[in-house]
Amino acid sequence: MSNLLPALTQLRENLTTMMEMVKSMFSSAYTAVKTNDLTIVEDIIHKENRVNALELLIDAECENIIALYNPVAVDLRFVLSVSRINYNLERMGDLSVSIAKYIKQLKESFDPELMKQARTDEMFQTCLSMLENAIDAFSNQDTAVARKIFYQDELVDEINILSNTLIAEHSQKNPEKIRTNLFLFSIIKKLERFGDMSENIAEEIIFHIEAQVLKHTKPAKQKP
Amino acid sequence: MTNEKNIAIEAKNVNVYYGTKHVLKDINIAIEKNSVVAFIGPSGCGKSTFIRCFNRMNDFIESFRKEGDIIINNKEIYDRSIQVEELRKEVGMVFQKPNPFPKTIFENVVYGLRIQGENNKKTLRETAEKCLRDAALWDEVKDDLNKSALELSGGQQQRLCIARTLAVKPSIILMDEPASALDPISTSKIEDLITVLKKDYTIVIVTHNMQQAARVSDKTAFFYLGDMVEFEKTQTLFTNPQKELTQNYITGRFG
Repeated sequence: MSNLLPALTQLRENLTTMMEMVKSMFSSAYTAVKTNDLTIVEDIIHKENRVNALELLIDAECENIIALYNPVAVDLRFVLSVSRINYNLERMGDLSVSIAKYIKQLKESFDPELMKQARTDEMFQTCLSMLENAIDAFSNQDTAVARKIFYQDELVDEINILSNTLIAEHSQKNPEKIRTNLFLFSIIKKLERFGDMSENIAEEIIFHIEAQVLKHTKPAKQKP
Repeated sequence: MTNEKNIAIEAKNVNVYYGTKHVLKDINIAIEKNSVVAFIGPSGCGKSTFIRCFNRMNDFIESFRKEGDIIINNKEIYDRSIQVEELRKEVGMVFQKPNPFPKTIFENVVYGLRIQGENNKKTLRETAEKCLRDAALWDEVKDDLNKSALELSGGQQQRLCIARTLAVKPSIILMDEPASALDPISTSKIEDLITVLKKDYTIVIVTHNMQQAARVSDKTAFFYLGDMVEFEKTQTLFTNPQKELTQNYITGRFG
């Protein structure tokens, strides 16, 4: 038992590092969309390798802790939640890479007016804030902050639905922009998934701390 | 005094003292029939004292004093009308260290019946076979019934002791650390046996092995310094204990 606590502390530190790396990747992807800076794109792709390596390390740590220490109660919930947060973070890293790769393939900038109407900036910022809240909630064991993420995801979903029509209409009026608009459409879909995964992480943090399972329970999430 | 229909053992406001030392403090518990209940807690918490109250094993301790009621079969078992020998037929006990008699395997199993005056060979033979089968030992010893029980391995001896307990047809079996002296394979056999036996018996087990408590019991009671801190479904107690003290103990953060 005496070695369990150091092992859990190490696991917590590694997951926090992973969260910060994914945040950095996503933040860079956002900058790349705004600036079309291809050097940033290469940096994101490079970071993906480190995130993948961390994912494997955290997986192994979870497996070892379960096998060696038989954690129970809050410790077991912590290890299970870290394992699932780890999976979501790796996917969020992949989404950031996908967004960056779209920028690499772009032949022209996105239409600024369309981006404004589609509230793409707001969507990026909300996604970034969701991940920051997840890091805050995880680091400070704060489920109230985790619950904010559920509300933020509603905003992300709303912007996603709105953008469908706007991009479709813009493409009809400007057929020469269809290819570029499709990239924007794809980025928005990635952001929507990014929001969902942030929500998954919030559920896991609440599961760890409060022993409540909030998966697939929209109304329950609204309760403090 | 009556038990609820589905309750095998009920303790009401039980306090136990050894001299001036207060070792069990106002314990209330109802143990359902055909269930396995585990008592866990650090050494000296009172769990063994409590389980030994159920068949009055503490009677031999001079400074022992009990208050409150322990009700089995609608009777307070410390009542003067209760004969301890009869109580122990109803409430069998398996100890930490296997304690077979220096007799044959067969004679060990039927020992209790012989004490009760049963000498019919057919009855004794049938009982021995049934109890050895129920204790998952028959296949291993059926050709060696006249060998000394002391030749058996530790795990086999413990199952023999369980068979000996079953022979007097108890409804409740108390187990005080029944597998702590056994290797993992023998432990696994005892645990499997507990799961099978609960169809016909109510089992109360004291264990220091929390994973064992988690594996075999339906409900678990956590004791600390004479208090029963929490009594919950085992699954709940090991995944989401309601008391911080329980959580600190089962996660090893104690003391």
